[in-house]
Amino acid sequence: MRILVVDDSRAMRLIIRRQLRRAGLGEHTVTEAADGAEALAAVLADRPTLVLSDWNMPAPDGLQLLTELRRRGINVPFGFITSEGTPEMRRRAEEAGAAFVVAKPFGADDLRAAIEEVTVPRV
Amino acid sequence: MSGSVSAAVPVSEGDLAAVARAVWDATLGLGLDGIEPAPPVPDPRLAAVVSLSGGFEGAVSLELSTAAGREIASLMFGLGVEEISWEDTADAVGELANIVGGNVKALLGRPAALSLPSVVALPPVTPGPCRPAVGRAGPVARGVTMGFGRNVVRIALHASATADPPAVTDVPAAGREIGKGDR
Repeated sequence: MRILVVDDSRAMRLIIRRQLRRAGLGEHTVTEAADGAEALAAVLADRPTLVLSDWNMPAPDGLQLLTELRRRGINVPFGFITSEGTPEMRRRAEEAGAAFVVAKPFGADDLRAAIEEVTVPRV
Repeated sequence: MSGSVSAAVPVSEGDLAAVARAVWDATLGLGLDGIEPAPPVPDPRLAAVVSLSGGFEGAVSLELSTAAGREIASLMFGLGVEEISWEDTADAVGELANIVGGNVKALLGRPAALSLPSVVALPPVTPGPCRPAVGRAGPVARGVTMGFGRNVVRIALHASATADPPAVTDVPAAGREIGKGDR
C-alpha cells in the first residue's frame, strides 16, 4: 500500500506516521504533503493507494482536495484525519466521497480499524 | 461574564478539561490535572488560538509558557528540546489548539467554522493598574488551568460579546491583549 499523508502540521504528519507504525502498518510506503495543492500533485504523480488527509488546511483544504480528485475521476480511497468530527462534517465528507473520518485525537486502533474497513477485502 | 452570554455557552469547565485531557493523552501520552487555585502561566508565554464563527462567535485558546510549548514540540517531533525552533513550537501547539478547538466546537451543538490556528508570543505580565482580561479572542466564557508535569496550560473558550460588554476584572490581568510579541 502507498499511503499519502496530507496535513499542514509537520508535527501531525509525524504523529500519523507513528500511529501507522503502531497500527501495524509501518511496512507500507508513506509519503507526505503539506497542503492540498501539494497533495494533488503527489496523487497525480505517484498514484498512492490511500490518502489520509486533514480537513482544516489553507486552501485548498481537505474537502476541496477530495472534491477535485473525484472531479478528475481519481477514486483513490480517501480518509479524513481531522479535528472536525461533528455529524455534519462526517455527512459532508461522505457526500464528497470520503471512505471514513478519523477524529483527532485518535489512537493507533482507531486508525487501523478505519483503514481496514477500506482495504481489507470482505468475504 | 454576563449571565446572558454565559447561559448561551453550552460547554462547561468540566467539558474543557475533559477535552484537554483526551488530547494530551492521545497526542502526547501525558496526563493533565486540574489545578486549584489556578496559578499564573509563567513568562515567557505563548498563546495558540483557533477562532469559531457562524453559529458560535468566539475562540478557543491555549496559553502556556514558551518552555512548555517547546517540551510539547519535543514530544511531538521526537527531538531534544534544544533542537526545537519557534516554528516547531508554533506548529505543535497550534495543532493542539486545532484539536482542542475542533472537539469543543463539536460540543457547542451548532454549526460553526473553525479557523486555522494562530500562535503568538505574549508580552510579559507587568504589575500595575488592573487591565481587563480581554483579548481579541473575546471575553472568556469558560476557562480551566491544568498541569502536566511542572507545566501549566490555561484552556479557554472565548465568546464574542453578543449583548453585554465584557466584565472588567479587579485583579491584574493574566496578560494583555493577545497579539504578536517578541519571540
